[in-house]
Amino acid sequence: MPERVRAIVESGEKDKCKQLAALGLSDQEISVAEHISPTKPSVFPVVDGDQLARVMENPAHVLINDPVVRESLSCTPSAFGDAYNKGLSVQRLSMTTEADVEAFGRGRAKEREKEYLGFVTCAAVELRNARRQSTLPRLLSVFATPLDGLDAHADVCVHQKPGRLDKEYLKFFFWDVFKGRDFVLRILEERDAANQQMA
Amino acid sequence: MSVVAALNPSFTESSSDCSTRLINLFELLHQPLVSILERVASVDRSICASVVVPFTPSVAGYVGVLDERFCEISEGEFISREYSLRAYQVIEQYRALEDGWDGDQALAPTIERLDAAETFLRMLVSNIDVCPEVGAMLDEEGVPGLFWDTGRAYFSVSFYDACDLVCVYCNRETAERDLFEADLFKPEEVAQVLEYIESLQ
Repeated sequence: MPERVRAIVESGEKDKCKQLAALGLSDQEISVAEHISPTKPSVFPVVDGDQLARVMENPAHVLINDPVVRESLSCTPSAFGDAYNKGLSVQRLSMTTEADVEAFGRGRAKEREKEYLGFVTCAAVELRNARRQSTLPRLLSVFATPLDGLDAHADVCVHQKPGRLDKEYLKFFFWDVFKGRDFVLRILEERDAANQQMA
Repeated sequence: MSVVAALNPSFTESSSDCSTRLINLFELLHQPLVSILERVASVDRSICASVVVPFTPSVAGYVGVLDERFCEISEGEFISREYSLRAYQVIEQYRALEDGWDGDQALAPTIERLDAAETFLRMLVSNIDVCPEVGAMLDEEGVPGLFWDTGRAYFSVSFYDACDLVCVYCNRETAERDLFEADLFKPEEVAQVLEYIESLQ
């Protein structure tokens, strides 16, 4: 079973979280799967203490110039709303640098015609401890999923089938654990400072 | 089109009594005000911006009491609150979104969901004078939502259908957490949602 989990996670398919959820894994099974080494020999499983960085973008495809509206589409709890389908791509700061994460984020945003906003961080153990209630199973798993040219890549997967309450809870959970409020306040401060300089 | 109930400025009862009356208004109608409005508008388009409802003591205090049988609730009498203005603007802008708005497979929100969000905002401003600024949000499945984050506490309400609300509350200081669903047209359930929002002050 853990090997099957590994295969799903490494498949890169967009619905990998749904495939994981269909397996109905216990906490113990998912923990075993998380600690299986990736096929790339130089990369080790994600440990609880790993700091994970998540790049934040504005969807520039949206033809709305109002910055408040654009931010509502990216700098809110709903920005994590697709996690239960696709999972979240993150990078392990133990295997890269903040400067490299920035460079990656800017490059990818340019390719996708989006605006790079910055990145947020949290520890892997905080994600692994996510539960809607303390008596319920874990909701999230974290796997090392190195990509070509990006050994630090990891995936945060929702491996339980979420109902509406789970989905809305996960939006809040990610917003909280990645300190989304502080991130938005920082962006606003930087923009105010930049506007004052221009003035 | 949605309908708002406005408070008669000369009405001297406390705001909590007016809040109760607003909730009672929805209760006595037993159905969405929008559907009543549409039926009225289909008969007489000159009054399509308002709705006429049967007068009972529970609706006393609303603008424009016509006679002892009916009072008129007019959209033009809308109360706005500063804490909600930006969210209104954003929800309105969401109406222009199309599928693929994120450059991928994100779904545009449905009219029903956006109308529900606006209806809730209007119920909010009619009941709560002061609260932290409300943020609007939208996920890739086209589910709009409103949220508050004061640092001390967080509350969100997401609109899944014309009347299905899903709410999340967390107090970071006490670790109190509540997840629940509510029906936009059940006054007692809306009251619970509004209670959480009032507690954020």
